[in-house]
Amino acid sequence: MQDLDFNLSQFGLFLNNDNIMMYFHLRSNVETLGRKIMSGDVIELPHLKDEYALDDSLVALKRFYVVQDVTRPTAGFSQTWYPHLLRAKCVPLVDSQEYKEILDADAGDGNSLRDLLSTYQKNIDINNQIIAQAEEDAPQSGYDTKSYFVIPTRENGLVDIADITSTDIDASTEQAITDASVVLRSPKKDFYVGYLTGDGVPPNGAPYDFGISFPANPATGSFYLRTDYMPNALYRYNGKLWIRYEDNVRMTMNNFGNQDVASGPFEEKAVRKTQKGTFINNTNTATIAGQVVPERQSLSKALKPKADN
Amino acid sequence: MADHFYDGQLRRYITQFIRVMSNFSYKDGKGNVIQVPTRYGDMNRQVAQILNKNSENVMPSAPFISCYIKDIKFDRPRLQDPTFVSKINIRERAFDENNQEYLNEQGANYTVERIMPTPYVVTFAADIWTSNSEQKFQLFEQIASIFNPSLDLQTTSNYIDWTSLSVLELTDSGVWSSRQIPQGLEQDIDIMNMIFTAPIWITPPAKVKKLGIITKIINNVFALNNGTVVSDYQNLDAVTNFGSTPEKTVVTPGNFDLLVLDKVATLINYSFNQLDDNVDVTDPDNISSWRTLLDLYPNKFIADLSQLRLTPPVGPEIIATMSLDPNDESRMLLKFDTDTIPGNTLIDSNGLRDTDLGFDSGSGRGTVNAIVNPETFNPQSPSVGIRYIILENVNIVSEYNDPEYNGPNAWKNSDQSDPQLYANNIVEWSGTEWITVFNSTTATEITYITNIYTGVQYKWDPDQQQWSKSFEGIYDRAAWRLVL
Repeated sequence: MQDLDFNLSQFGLFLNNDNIMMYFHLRSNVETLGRKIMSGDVIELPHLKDEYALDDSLVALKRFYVVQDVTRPTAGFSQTWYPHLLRAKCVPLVDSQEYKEILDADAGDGNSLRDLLSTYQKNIDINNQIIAQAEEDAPQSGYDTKSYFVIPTRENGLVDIADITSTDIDASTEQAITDASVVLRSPKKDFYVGYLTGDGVPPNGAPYDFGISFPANPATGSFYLRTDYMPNALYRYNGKLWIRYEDNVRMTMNNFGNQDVASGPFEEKAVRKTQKGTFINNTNTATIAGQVVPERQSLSKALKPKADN
Repeated sequence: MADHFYDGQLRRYITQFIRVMSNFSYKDGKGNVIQVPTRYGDMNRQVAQILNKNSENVMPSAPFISCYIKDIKFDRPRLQDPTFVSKINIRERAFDENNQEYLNEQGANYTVERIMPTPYVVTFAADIWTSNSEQKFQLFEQIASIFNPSLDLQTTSNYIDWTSLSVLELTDSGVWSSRQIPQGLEQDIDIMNMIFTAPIWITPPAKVKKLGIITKIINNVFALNNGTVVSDYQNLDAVTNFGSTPEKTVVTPGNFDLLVLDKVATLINYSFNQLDDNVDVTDPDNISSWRTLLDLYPNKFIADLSQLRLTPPVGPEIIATMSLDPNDESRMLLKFDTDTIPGNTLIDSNGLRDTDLGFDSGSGRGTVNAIVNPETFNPQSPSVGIRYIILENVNIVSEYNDPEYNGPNAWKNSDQSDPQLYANNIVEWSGTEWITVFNSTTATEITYITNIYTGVQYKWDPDQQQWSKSFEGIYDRAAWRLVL
């Protein structure tokens, strides 16, 4: 028995110097285990079970130690100088991959030992909440200007409206649901420009269509998002030509890969697709010479012969 | 004490830093991919105990990434003018509270003033606890490859937040392992330390104000004749008369002229090729809808309250309230404030003005009973004191001195003599004869007279030598303004 204090580290609370020495009878130990106890063996101490933990499930938490070193203690030698005891230095068990099989074991009530004893899931939950807050603060790279209004202006700075002097068919005129004699045209250019402000969405909530080729007979001022371009490009028809309005350059800043969005709290969120992201989060395949090969390959193994099985 | 404010700026930086360090994983020997949790490192002890379920038996998990701020320093090389204030004008889309969605219309408008923020360099640390070297290699390879050398670090997506963007750079001052190698007796946990720096800004609150845009700029430009430095230096007039011939530069939106006629204001498109006096307002190309101007200042125009102010060449501004013609948005209907319309010039029966000595206030009037064409109008039996502006000459002929000359019967005096009356004169019937109280051939002063038959005020312009409506007509680009 020893008095221990908690050490608060950046990874949480640890018991300081929580090392215990346990003595085993050598022959009994070998007869039980088939070998000597050794480093990495995990020991459950039933008498240290904690029935009063803050736990909604009201399950007593077991105490596990892992053997760090095993030696012959000086007290274990007989008069014939033969050793009879083993001294195991034990430290608290940590939830790591080395003890995965033990911690995955059923604790008896359907939960695994990890579920009851490890802080892993709690840490993941906290991590997810932080990501959710970060996403709330900055959902995508760049700046959101969807809620801003862009006044369509003419060359002289006046409001560009379609009125009785207009002779061409205007997209906004067609969309007008009122019989007002004057309606705003769609803006020829964005007013709120800056670093990564293009989102591929027309200003002022104007309607738009998308596809891989421009529509026939468009109305002046209509928008069209070309999805065959990367990044997607938004165009505006000025009566004669489709003029590039902006590119959809905003994207998620979450560090999500495909496995992160397959299920869980971030299911169906966007995968990070920056230039470098397309090299890492890449599940594309290519059929080359009749063989389907994944695009993403380690540089050291790319184009090396692969086993057929 | 200063008023409290807190915007959680550092908190947002650390939140985004944790986001960058999140979602890394390792693959165990059986092919399972396991996400590594990432969390803030500087935890409260009470919180840590709760996370541990207040038990010694709860075990921590590894690997684990812990993020925290290691250092923060003022960044003097990035210091800029601390008094600089940036203004940005924002127009919002209208928001439908019921359906919780933005509409396609213009909503509230703001001018946001932002003062220069304070530059700092913050140093972040990420401690990576791994239980074996393979985990460490896997995590390092994933993290290190995305920093080349930096990533964007953005705390908000608010367009007006000019402090939101920074870069996070992985520096080389990290520690590969916290353990001693070889390890010796103790088996401490193994921590890899990675150090990142980010130039950040800490900003005070902004000022959010009602949208204010300069819509008319008047700039006095003082003209001076060209000269040499020496001659101007010796020329006293160069100083005392500096700016004696001022010119004015006025910048207005749209460069519209304004036609005010019959209590209706119409915007006239400005063209260098057109003569102001020769505009066909029935041609739609020459006029513009008032919406082209009013929509620049959304929600400001209020019918019958918003004002149009006209600046005549002489005298104070003339003010009228406006309302848009619902049937034609190129027509602005005006209601003039009569107090701002120029006062009539009082003229007595002797032709003296109210500013002249001997002016008879008893017979002084600023009105005429009608404007008449004497060739087609017969005053018949005029009452005493009746006044007319006549548009044509009466008895101004070469034969006037001929004894046989007999003028028009309608304009004879009581004694059957023929008065000589010039066009544009104001004439008054004295009871026995027509007398001229205003002689257009000799008048040299601007004179305002109201025709009480129509209620329209007219102005005599000695330069133009004609009567015209006193304030109606075309106002050029610099001579009118809106008060919304």
